[in-house]
Amino acid sequence: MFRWLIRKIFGRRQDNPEGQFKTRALAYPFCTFAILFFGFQVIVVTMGAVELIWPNMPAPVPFRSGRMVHLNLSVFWPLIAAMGSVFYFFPKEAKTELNHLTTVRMLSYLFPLVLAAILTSFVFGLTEGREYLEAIRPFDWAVTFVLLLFSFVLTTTYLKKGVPKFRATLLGMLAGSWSLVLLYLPNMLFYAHPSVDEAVKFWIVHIWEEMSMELFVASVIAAFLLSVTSKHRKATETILLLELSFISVTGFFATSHHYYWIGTPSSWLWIGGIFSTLQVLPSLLLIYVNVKDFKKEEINSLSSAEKMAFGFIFASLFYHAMGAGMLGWILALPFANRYVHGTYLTSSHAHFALFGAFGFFALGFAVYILTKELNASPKDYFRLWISYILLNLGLMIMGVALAIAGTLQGYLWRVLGNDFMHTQELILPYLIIRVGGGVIFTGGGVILAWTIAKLAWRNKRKILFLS
Amino acid sequence: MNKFVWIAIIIALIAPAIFFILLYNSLSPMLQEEIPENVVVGKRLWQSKGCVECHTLFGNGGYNAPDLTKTVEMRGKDYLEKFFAKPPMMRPHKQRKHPGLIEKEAADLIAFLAFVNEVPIIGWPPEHAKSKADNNSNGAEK
Repeated sequence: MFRWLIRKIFGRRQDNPEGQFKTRALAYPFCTFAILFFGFQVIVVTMGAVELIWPNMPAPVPFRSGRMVHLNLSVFWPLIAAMGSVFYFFPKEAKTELNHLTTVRMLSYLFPLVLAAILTSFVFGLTEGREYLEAIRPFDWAVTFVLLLFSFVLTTTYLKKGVPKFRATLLGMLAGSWSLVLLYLPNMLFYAHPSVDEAVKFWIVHIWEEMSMELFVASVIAAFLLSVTSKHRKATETILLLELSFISVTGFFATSHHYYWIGTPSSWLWIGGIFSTLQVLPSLLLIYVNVKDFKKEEINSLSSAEKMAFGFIFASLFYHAMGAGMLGWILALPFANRYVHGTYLTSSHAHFALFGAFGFFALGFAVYILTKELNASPKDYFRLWISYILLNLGLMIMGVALAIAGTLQGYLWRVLGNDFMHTQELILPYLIIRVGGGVIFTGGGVILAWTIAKLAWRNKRKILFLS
Repeated sequence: MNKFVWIAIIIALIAPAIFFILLYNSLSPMLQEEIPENVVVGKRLWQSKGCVECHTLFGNGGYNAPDLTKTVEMRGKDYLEKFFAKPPMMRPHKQRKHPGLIEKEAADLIAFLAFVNEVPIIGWPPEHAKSKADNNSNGAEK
C-alpha cells in the first residue's frame, strides 16, 4: 500500500525511464506481421473446416495444401512475435542498444517474406512431405539464414562492453535463439530410414516448442515482470535460472514420448514416461514465478496495455498447466498413449499447447508492445478484450470437443477395433462442435487482427521508418 | 548469483549431450542398416506426394485417413497395387477419388510401406477386441 502511494505521488518508473532504448522500436514490424499472419491463419483454417461439414463442396485449394499452410503458420507466426518481443526486451535487460540495426530491419521484412513464399509454394503443391517441416530445401536455407541473423544480432549485442553477462533473462534468450538454429540444421538432410526420419523430425516439432520457445517465454515474461512490477530482480532471476535449467532438461528428455512407437527400443517408454511427468514442473514453476508476491493493488496501477498483457499471460499460463501440462502428461504416459496415439486427442493437445500456451504468449506480447508504444485508444482496448474472450471461448470449445472426439476414437478404433472410417463417421458430431468453436475463435482472431491492423496503419510511419 | 548461472549453464549443456548420446545409441543400428534402393525411392515419393497430410505413419501425421504403418500386413500387396491402379472414392466425398499412381511408382511406394511394416514397433498399434476375436475364429476353423 505504501509503495503504491509513493508510486501514485511520484509517478511510475522513475528509476528506469522507458523508451530510453530506441532500438526497441525495431520490434514493431515483427509484432505487426505476426498478428497479420495469425489473422490470415484463422481465416484459412475456417475455410478448411467448411470441407468437413460439406465434404462435396468444391475447395479452392486441396486439403493437403490447406493443412500445410495451417501447420507452418502455427509454428512460424508465434516465432516472429517471439523474435519481436525478444528484440523489445533485450536492450533494456542488456542496458544497451541493439547492434546491427540494418540487419534487424532487414530481418523484420525478410522473415515474413520467406514465410509468405513458403505458404505460396504449398498452394502449388511443393512439399518436403514431412509434417510441420513441409518447406522445400531452398526455403530451409532461407529459414536457417533468418535464424542465424537473429542469433547473430543477439550475440554481438550481448558481447558488447558493459552488458551484464550473468543476467538470466539474457542467457535464456540467447540459448533459445541458438538452439533454434542448431536443431533446424539436421532437419535439412534426407533420412532414408523412416524411424530415423521421425526421430529427427521431433527435434523441431517438439524441442523447438518445448525448449527454445519455452526459454523465450520464461525469459520474456521475467523481463516484462521486472519492468512493470516491483519484483525483486535477484529473487526473480534465481527462480528464472532454476526454471531455465528445468526447461533444458525436460525439453530434451520429454521428447522421448515421441519415440515410443517409431522403432526405437522400449527403454524410451521409461525415459518418456518419467520426463513427461517432470515436464509439468517447469510450467508450474512458471506460474509460481508470476503469482509469487503478486500484489493486488499493483493491478490497479497498471496501464491498459499492461493489464492486457497480464490477461494474455494468465491465459498462456493456464493453458501451459492445463493443455500442455496435464493433458500432455496423460497423453504421454505409455499405457494411455498406446491407445490414443494418433487420434484427435493429440490434436486437442496440440491446439491447447501450441495456441493456448505459445499462441497466447506471442499474441499477448505483440499486442502489448504495439498498443503500448503506438498509443492505442480505449476503443481499441475494448475490441481487444472482446477478441480475447472470443479466442478463449473458441479455443476451449474446440479443445474440449477434440478431446472427447479423440477419446471416443481411441476407444472405438484402437480398443474395440472398428474400421477407421466408420469411427470417423461416429465421432463426426464432436468434430462439427469443434468447427463451431473454431468459428467463435476465428471471430476473435479477425477482430484482433483488424484492430491491430488499423492501429498499425495509423502509425505506419512509426513502424516503417522508425520516426 | 554467478555460481547459479554456471550451474544452469552446465546443466543446459549436459542434458542435451546425454540425450543425443542415448538417441544415437538407439538409432545407430538403423543408420547402418542397408536400405534397398526402391524403398528409398518409395520414401521420396511418399514425401513428395505429401501423403502424411492425411495419413499417419507410426501414428504421426494427419488424422483424416487411416494409419498406414501396418497396412501391408492388413491389406496385402495385391490389394494395394489394385488400389493405386484404380483408386476408389474417398469417403465421405462423392466425387473426389484418392490420388492414383503409375505401376512403377506404386511398386516403389508399396516397397516403402512394406519396409515400414517390418520396423519392429513394440506393442503398437494395440491388438484390439475385434482382431482378437478374428484370430480366435481363424484358429477354430483351422
